[in-house]
Amino acid sequence: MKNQNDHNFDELIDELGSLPDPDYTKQAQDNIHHNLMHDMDKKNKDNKWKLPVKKIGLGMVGLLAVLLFSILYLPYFQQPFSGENESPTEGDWEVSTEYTEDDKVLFDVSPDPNLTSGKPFGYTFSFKEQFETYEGKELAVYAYHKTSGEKITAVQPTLISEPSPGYQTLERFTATFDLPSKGLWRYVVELDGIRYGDVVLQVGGD
Amino acid sequence: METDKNKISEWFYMYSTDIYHYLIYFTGSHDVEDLVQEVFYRAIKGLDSYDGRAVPKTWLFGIARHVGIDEIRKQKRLHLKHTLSFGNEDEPKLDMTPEDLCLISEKQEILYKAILSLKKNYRDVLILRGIKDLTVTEVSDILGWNENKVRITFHRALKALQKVKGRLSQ
Repeated sequence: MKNQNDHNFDELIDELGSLPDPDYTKQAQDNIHHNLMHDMDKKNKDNKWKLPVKKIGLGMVGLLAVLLFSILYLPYFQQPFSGENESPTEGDWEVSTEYTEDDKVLFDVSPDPNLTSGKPFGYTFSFKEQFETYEGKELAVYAYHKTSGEKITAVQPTLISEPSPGYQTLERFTATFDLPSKGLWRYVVELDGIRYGDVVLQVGGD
Repeated sequence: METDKNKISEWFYMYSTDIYHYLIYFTGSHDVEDLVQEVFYRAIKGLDSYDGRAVPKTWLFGIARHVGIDEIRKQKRLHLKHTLSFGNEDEPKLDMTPEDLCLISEKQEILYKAILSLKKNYRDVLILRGIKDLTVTEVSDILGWNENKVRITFHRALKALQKVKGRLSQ
Protein backbone atom coordinates (compact mmCIF):
# COMPACT_ATOMS: atom_id res chain seq x y z
CA MET A 1 0.00 0.00 0.00
CA LYS A 2 1.42 3.33 -0.99
CA ASN A 3 0.91 6.17 1.47
CA GLN A 4 0.07 9.74 0.56
CA ASN A 5 3.77 10.70 0.37
CA ASP A 6 4.52 7.92 -2.10
CA HIS A 7 1.65 9.10 -4.32
CA ASN A 8 3.08 12.60 -4.16
CA PHE A 9 6.50 11.19 -5.09
CA ASP A 10 4.98 9.46 -8.13
CA GLU A 11 3.67 12.81 -9.25
CA LEU A 12 6.98 14.43 -8.50
CA ILE A 13 8.86 11.75 -10.44
CA ASP A 14 6.47 12.31 -13.36
CA GLU A 15 7.13 16.03 -13.14
CA LEU A 16 10.88 15.42 -13.17
CA GLY A 17 10.54 13.17 -16.18
CA SER A 18 8.49 15.78 -17.98
CA LEU A 19 11.21 18.42 -17.75
CA PRO A 20 12.13 19.22 -21.35
CA ASP A 21 15.25 18.11 -23.17
CA PRO A 22 17.07 21.35 -24.03
CA ASP A 23 17.69 21.86 -27.71
CA TYR A 24 20.92 20.33 -28.95
CA THR A 25 21.20 21.08 -32.62
CA LYS A 26 22.60 18.64 -35.14
CA GLN A 27 24.99 21.34 -36.28
CA ALA A 28 26.38 21.84 -32.77
CA GLN A 29 26.75 18.10 -32.43
CA ASP A 30 28.57 17.78 -35.78
CA ASN A 31 30.88 20.68 -34.92
CA ILE A 32 31.92 19.05 -31.65
CA HIS A 33 32.35 15.72 -33.40
CA HIS A 34 34.53 17.32 -36.08
CA ASN A 35 36.75 18.93 -33.42
CA LEU A 36 37.11 15.64 -31.57
CA MET A 37 38.05 13.67 -34.66
CA HIS A 38 40.55 16.34 -35.64
CA ASP A 39 42.05 16.13 -32.16
CA MET A 40 42.29 12.35 -32.36
CA ASP A 41 44.04 12.52 -35.74
CA LYS A 42 46.51 14.98 -34.24
CA LYS A 43 47.06 12.75 -31.23
CA ASN A 44 47.66 9.74 -33.49
CA LYS A 45 50.15 11.73 -35.56
CA ASP A 46 51.97 12.83 -32.42
CA ASN A 47 52.07 9.24 -31.18
CA LYS A 48 53.57 8.06 -34.49
CA TRP A 49 56.51 10.35 -33.79
CA LYS A 50 56.59 9.84 -30.06
CA LEU A 51 57.32 6.11 -30.27
CA PRO A 52 60.43 6.34 -32.49
CA VAL A 53 61.61 9.38 -30.54
CA LYS A 54 61.17 7.40 -27.33
CA LYS A 55 63.14 4.48 -28.82
CA ILE A 56 65.90 6.78 -30.02
CA GLY A 57 65.99 8.39 -26.59
CA LEU A 58 66.36 5.01 -24.93
CA GLY A 59 69.09 4.08 -27.40
CA MET A 60 70.95 7.28 -26.60
CA VAL A 61 70.71 6.60 -22.88
CA GLY A 62 72.06 3.08 -23.45
CA LEU A 63 74.91 4.42 -25.55
CA LEU A 64 75.72 6.98 -22.90
CA ALA A 65 75.77 4.26 -20.24
CA VAL A 66 78.21 2.17 -22.35
CA LEU A 67 80.39 5.24 -22.90
CA LEU A 68 80.43 6.06 -19.21
CA PHE A 69 81.28 2.46 -18.41
CA SER A 70 84.14 2.54 -20.93
CA ILE A 71 85.51 5.79 -19.57
CA LEU A 72 85.27 4.86 -15.93
CA TYR A 73 86.02 1.14 -15.84
CA LEU A 74 87.99 0.12 -18.93
CA PRO A 75 91.17 1.90 -17.82
CA TYR A 76 90.96 -0.10 -14.61
CA PHE A 77 90.84 -3.37 -16.55
CA GLN A 78 93.52 -2.29 -18.99
CA GLN A 79 96.14 -1.10 -16.49
CA PRO A 80 99.48 -3.01 -16.39
CA PHE A 81 99.81 -6.10 -14.24
CA SER A 82 99.78 -4.81 -10.75
CA GLY A 83 96.47 -5.89 -9.35
CA GLU A 84 95.88 -9.18 -7.66
CA ASN A 85 93.03 -10.03 -10.05
CA GLU A 86 95.14 -9.50 -13.15
CA SER A 87 96.46 -12.49 -15.08
CA PRO A 88 100.25 -12.81 -14.61
CA THR A 89 100.72 -13.42 -18.34
CA GLU A 90 99.15 -10.04 -19.23
CA GLY A 91 100.33 -6.51 -18.64
CA ASP A 92 103.75 -4.91 -18.81
CA TRP A 93 106.70 -7.24 -19.55
CA GLU A 94 109.47 -4.72 -19.19
CA VAL A 95 112.46 -6.23 -17.39
CA SER A 96 112.63 -4.97 -13.83
CA THR A 97 114.44 -6.40 -10.84
CA GLU A 98 112.51 -4.37 -8.29
CA TYR A 99 108.88 -3.97 -7.41
CA THR A 100 107.59 -0.54 -6.36
CA GLU A 101 104.32 0.78 -5.14
CA ASP A 102 103.68 4.51 -4.68
CA ASP A 103 107.32 5.19 -5.48
CA LYS A 104 108.39 2.89 -2.69
CA VAL A 105 110.42 -0.23 -3.40
CA LEU A 106 108.78 -3.17 -1.67
CA PHE A 107 111.31 -5.75 -2.76
CA ASP A 108 114.01 -6.47 -5.34
CA VAL A 109 115.63 -9.60 -6.65
CA SER A 110 119.24 -10.33 -7.45
CA PRO A 111 119.56 -13.33 -9.72
CA ASP A 112 122.70 -15.17 -10.53
CA PRO A 113 124.53 -13.14 -13.18
CA ASN A 114 124.80 -16.28 -15.34
CA LEU A 115 121.08 -17.01 -15.16
CA THR A 116 120.04 -19.34 -17.96
CA SER A 117 117.29 -21.85 -18.48
CA GLY A 118 117.56 -25.54 -17.78
CA LYS A 119 119.81 -25.28 -14.73
CA PRO A 120 119.13 -24.37 -11.09
CA PHE A 121 120.22 -20.87 -10.17
CA GLY A 122 120.17 -18.98 -6.92
CA TYR A 123 118.12 -15.81 -6.32
CA THR A 124 118.17 -13.37 -3.43
CA PHE A 125 114.93 -11.57 -2.71
CA SER A 126 115.35 -8.49 -0.54
CA PHE A 127 112.09 -7.38 1.11
CA LYS A 128 112.02 -3.80 2.34
CA GLU A 129 108.91 -3.51 4.52
CA GLN A 130 108.92 -4.04 8.24
CA PHE A 131 109.10 -7.64 9.37
CA GLU A 132 105.53 -7.49 10.74
CA THR A 133 104.34 -7.35 7.15
CA TYR A 134 105.68 -10.85 6.50
CA GLU A 135 105.69 -12.41 9.94
CA GLY A 136 103.40 -15.41 10.36
CA LYS A 137 102.51 -15.44 6.65
CA GLU A 138 103.23 -18.01 3.97
CA LEU A 139 105.47 -16.61 1.28
CA ALA A 140 105.49 -18.24 -2.16
CA VAL A 141 107.05 -17.36 -5.52
CA TYR A 142 105.63 -18.42 -8.85
CA ALA A 143 107.27 -17.88 -12.23
CA TYR A 144 105.28 -17.35 -15.45
CA HIS A 145 106.80 -17.68 -18.90
CA LYS A 146 105.66 -14.94 -21.25
CA THR A 147 105.72 -16.93 -24.48
CA SER A 148 104.17 -20.22 -23.37
CA GLY A 149 102.22 -19.06 -20.31
CA GLU A 150 103.85 -21.91 -18.37
CA LYS A 151 103.72 -21.61 -14.59
CA ILE A 152 106.49 -22.84 -12.29
CA THR A 153 106.34 -23.01 -8.52
CA ALA A 154 109.70 -21.43 -7.73
CA VAL A 155 109.26 -21.28 -3.96
CA GLN A 156 106.69 -23.45 -2.22
CA PRO A 157 104.56 -21.57 0.36
CA THR A 158 106.97 -21.07 3.26
CA LEU A 159 105.95 -19.83 6.72
CA ILE A 160 107.95 -16.73 7.66
CA SER A 161 108.73 -16.78 11.35
CA GLU A 162 112.06 -14.96 11.65
CA PRO A 163 113.82 -12.09 9.89
CA SER A 164 116.82 -12.87 7.73
CA PRO A 165 119.76 -13.72 9.98
CA GLY A 166 121.55 -10.52 10.98
CA TYR A 167 118.79 -8.26 9.55
CA GLN A 168 115.76 -6.45 10.97
CA THR A 169 113.46 -7.77 8.27
CA LEU A 170 113.41 -10.21 5.37
CA GLU A 171 116.28 -8.61 3.53
CA ARG A 172 117.93 -11.80 2.36
CA PHE A 173 115.41 -14.39 1.34
CA THR A 174 117.18 -16.86 -0.88
CA ALA A 175 115.79 -19.45 -3.23
CA THR A 176 117.15 -21.79 -5.86
CA PHE A 177 115.18 -23.15 -8.77
CA ASP A 178 115.51 -23.79 -12.46
CA LEU A 179 113.37 -22.54 -15.31
CA PRO A 180 112.72 -24.77 -18.31
CA SER A 181 112.72 -22.13 -21.07
CA LYS A 182 114.58 -19.03 -22.02
CA GLY A 183 112.88 -15.69 -22.46
CA LEU A 184 110.95 -13.34 -20.24
CA TRP A 185 109.74 -14.67 -16.93
CA ARG A 186 107.53 -12.94 -14.40
CA TYR A 187 108.22 -13.81 -10.79
CA VAL A 188 105.14 -13.28 -8.67
CA VAL A 189 105.53 -13.14 -4.90
CA GLU A 190 102.47 -14.11 -2.86
CA LEU A 191 101.81 -13.72 0.84
CA ASP A 192 99.13 -16.09 2.17
CA GLY A 193 97.98 -16.65 -1.41
CA ILE A 194 97.57 -12.92 -2.09
CA ARG A 195 99.77 -11.35 -4.72
CA TYR A 196 102.33 -9.08 -3.10
CA GLY A 197 104.32 -7.96 -6.13
CA ASP A 198 106.19 -9.10 -9.18
CA VAL A 199 109.39 -8.60 -11.16
CA VAL A 200 110.31 -9.53 -14.73
CA LEU A 201 113.62 -11.10 -15.65
CA GLN A 202 115.21 -12.09 -18.92
CA VAL A 203 116.43 -15.68 -18.75
CA GLY A 204 119.07 -16.70 -21.22
CA GLY A 205 119.48 -20.10 -22.76
CA ASP A 206 120.42 -22.08 -25.78
CA MET B 1 44.29 3.92 -33.27
CA GLU B 2 41.64 3.91 -35.99
CA THR B 3 39.57 1.61 -33.77
CA ASP B 4 39.76 4.14 -30.92
CA LYS B 5 38.63 6.87 -33.25
CA ASN B 6 35.67 4.81 -34.43
CA LYS B 7 34.79 3.94 -30.86
CA ILE B 8 34.80 7.56 -29.71
CA SER B 9 32.82 8.60 -32.77
CA GLU B 10 30.23 5.90 -32.12
CA TRP B 11 29.92 6.75 -28.42
CA PHE B 12 29.68 10.42 -29.25
CA TYR B 13 26.62 9.96 -31.46
CA MET B 14 25.07 7.52 -29.00
CA TYR B 15 25.49 9.52 -25.79
CA SER B 16 26.40 13.14 -26.45
CA THR B 17 22.75 14.28 -26.50
CA ASP B 18 22.09 12.76 -23.07
CA ILE B 19 25.33 14.23 -21.78
CA TYR B 20 24.43 17.63 -23.18
CA HIS B 21 21.10 17.56 -21.37
CA TYR B 22 22.68 16.28 -18.19
CA LEU B 23 25.30 19.05 -18.17
CA ILE B 24 22.68 21.74 -18.70
CA TYR B 25 20.69 20.55 -15.71
CA PHE B 26 23.76 19.85 -13.63
CA THR B 27 25.52 23.19 -14.17
CA GLY B 28 22.47 25.39 -14.63
CA SER B 29 24.11 26.89 -17.69
CA HIS B 30 22.80 26.78 -21.23
CA ASP B 31 26.29 27.09 -22.72
CA VAL B 32 27.60 23.56 -22.33
CA GLU B 33 28.82 22.69 -25.83
CA ASP B 34 32.42 23.24 -24.73
CA LEU B 35 31.79 21.03 -21.75
CA VAL B 36 30.45 18.22 -23.94
CA GLN B 37 33.60 18.54 -26.02
CA GLU B 38 35.69 18.45 -22.83
CA VAL B 39 33.93 15.25 -21.72
CA PHE B 40 34.93 13.49 -24.91
CA TYR B 41 38.46 14.97 -24.85
CA ARG B 42 38.90 13.46 -21.41
CA ALA B 43 37.44 10.20 -22.68
CA ILE B 44 40.01 10.14 -25.51
CA LYS B 45 42.80 10.77 -23.03
CA GLY B 46 41.50 8.11 -20.66
CA LEU B 47 40.69 5.53 -23.32
CA ASP B 48 43.90 3.60 -22.64
CA SER B 49 42.94 3.19 -18.99
CA TYR B 50 39.28 2.38 -19.71
CA ASP B 51 39.07 -1.24 -18.66
CA GLY B 52 35.54 -1.89 -19.89
CA ARG B 53 34.25 -2.75 -16.43
CA ALA B 54 31.82 0.17 -16.61
CA VAL B 55 29.60 0.38 -19.67
CA PRO B 56 30.57 3.32 -21.93
CA LYS B 57 27.40 5.21 -21.04
CA THR B 58 28.05 5.30 -17.29
CA TRP B 59 31.78 5.86 -17.83
CA LEU B 60 31.02 8.93 -19.96
CA PHE B 61 28.40 10.20 -17.51
CA GLY B 62 30.98 9.83 -14.73
CA ILE B 63 33.40 11.98 -16.72
CA ALA B 64 30.62 14.46 -17.48
CA ARG B 65 29.84 14.79 -13.79
CA HIS B 66 33.45 15.69 -13.02
CA VAL B 67 33.53 18.16 -15.90
CA GLY B 68 30.32 19.67 -14.51
CA ILE B 69 31.76 19.94 -10.99
CA ASP B 70 34.91 21.63 -12.35
CA GLU B 71 32.78 24.06 -14.33
CA ILE B 72 30.64 24.98 -11.32
CA ARG B 73 33.76 25.65 -9.26
CA LYS B 74 35.24 27.73 -12.07
CA GLN B 75 32.09 29.80 -12.36
CA LYS B 76 32.00 30.21 -8.61
CA ARG B 77 35.59 31.46 -8.56
CA LEU B 78 34.83 33.95 -11.33
CA HIS B 79 31.74 35.07 -9.46
CA LEU B 80 33.74 35.52 -6.25
CA LYS B 81 36.17 37.76 -8.06
CA HIS B 82 33.39 40.22 -8.76
CA THR B 83 31.29 39.97 -5.67
CA LEU B 84 31.95 39.01 -2.11
CA SER B 85 29.44 36.28 -1.75
CA PHE B 86 29.43 33.36 0.61
CA GLY B 87 27.71 30.14 -0.13
CA ASN B 88 28.07 26.57 -1.21
CA GLU B 89 30.89 26.38 -3.78
CA ASP B 90 29.30 23.41 -5.46
CA GLU B 91 25.97 25.12 -5.88
CA PRO B 92 25.27 26.01 -9.52
CA LYS B 93 23.92 29.41 -10.39
CA LEU B 94 20.98 29.48 -12.75
CA ASP B 95 21.92 31.72 -15.64
CA MET B 96 19.20 30.47 -17.96
CA THR B 97 15.89 32.00 -18.65
CA PRO B 98 12.96 29.59 -18.57
CA GLU B 99 12.87 29.99 -22.35
CA ASP B 100 16.40 28.67 -22.60
CA LEU B 101 15.23 25.46 -21.12
CA CYS B 102 11.86 25.66 -22.82
CA LEU B 103 10.38 25.63 -19.34
CA ILE B 104 7.09 26.84 -20.57
CA SER B 105 5.24 26.30 -17.39
CA GLU B 106 5.83 28.19 -14.17
CA LYS B 107 5.53 24.87 -12.40
CA GLN B 108 8.54 23.48 -14.24
CA GLU B 109 10.55 26.59 -13.51
CA ILE B 110 9.85 26.28 -9.79
CA LEU B 111 10.73 22.59 -9.90
CA TYR B 112 14.08 23.27 -11.54
CA LYS B 113 14.94 26.09 -9.14
CA ALA B 114 14.07 23.79 -6.27
CA ILE B 115 16.42 21.10 -7.62
CA LEU B 116 19.30 23.56 -7.90
CA SER B 117 18.78 24.72 -4.33
CA LEU B 118 19.28 21.21 -2.96
CA LYS B 119 22.55 19.77 -1.73
CA LYS B 120 24.88 18.16 -4.22
CA ASN B 121 24.11 14.51 -3.52
CA TYR B 122 20.41 15.17 -3.99
CA ARG B 123 20.93 17.13 -7.19
CA ASP B 124 23.11 14.33 -8.56
CA VAL B 125 20.58 11.62 -7.97
CA LEU B 126 17.53 13.69 -9.00
CA ILE B 127 19.06 14.68 -12.33
CA LEU B 128 20.42 11.24 -13.17
CA ARG B 129 17.57 9.13 -11.86
CA GLY B 130 14.64 11.55 -12.05
CA ILE B 131 15.31 13.68 -15.10
CA LYS B 132 17.59 11.47 -17.22
CA ASP B 133 15.74 8.35 -16.13
CA LEU B 134 18.86 6.23 -15.67
CA THR B 135 18.47 2.92 -13.86
CA VAL B 136 19.51 2.47 -10.23
CA THR B 137 22.45 0.34 -11.43
CA GLU B 138 23.58 3.01 -13.89
CA VAL B 139 23.37 5.76 -11.26
CA SER B 140 25.23 3.51 -8.83
CA ASP B 141 28.04 3.11 -11.40
CA ILE B 142 28.26 6.82 -12.14
CA LEU B 143 28.24 8.03 -8.55
CA GLY B 144 30.24 5.11 -7.17
CA TRP B 145 27.55 4.35 -4.59
CA ASN B 146 25.95 1.03 -3.87
CA GLU B 147 22.46 0.57 -5.24
CA ASN B 148 20.86 0.80 -1.81
CA LYS B 149 22.42 4.18 -1.24
CA VAL B 150 21.09 5.34 -4.61
CA ARG B 151 17.55 4.29 -3.67
CA ILE B 152 17.67 5.85 -0.20
CA THR B 153 19.27 9.09 -1.37
CA PHE B 154 16.78 9.38 -4.22
CA HIS B 155 13.92 8.94 -1.79
CA ARG B 156 15.33 11.57 0.57
CA ALA B 157 16.04 13.90 -2.34
CA LEU B 158 12.42 13.63 -3.50
CA LYS B 159 11.27 14.42 0.01
CA ALA B 160 13.53 17.47 0.21
CA LEU B 161 12.54 18.57 -3.28
CA GLN B 162 8.87 18.38 -2.43
CA LYS B 163 9.44 20.52 0.62
CA VAL B 164 11.41 23.22 -1.20
CA LYS B 165 9.05 23.17 -4.16
CA GLY B 166 6.11 23.70 -1.81
CA ARG B 167 7.88 26.64 -0.23
CA LEU B 168 8.74 28.23 -3.59
CA SER B 169 5.21 27.76 -4.86
CA GLN B 170 3.71 29.77 -2.02
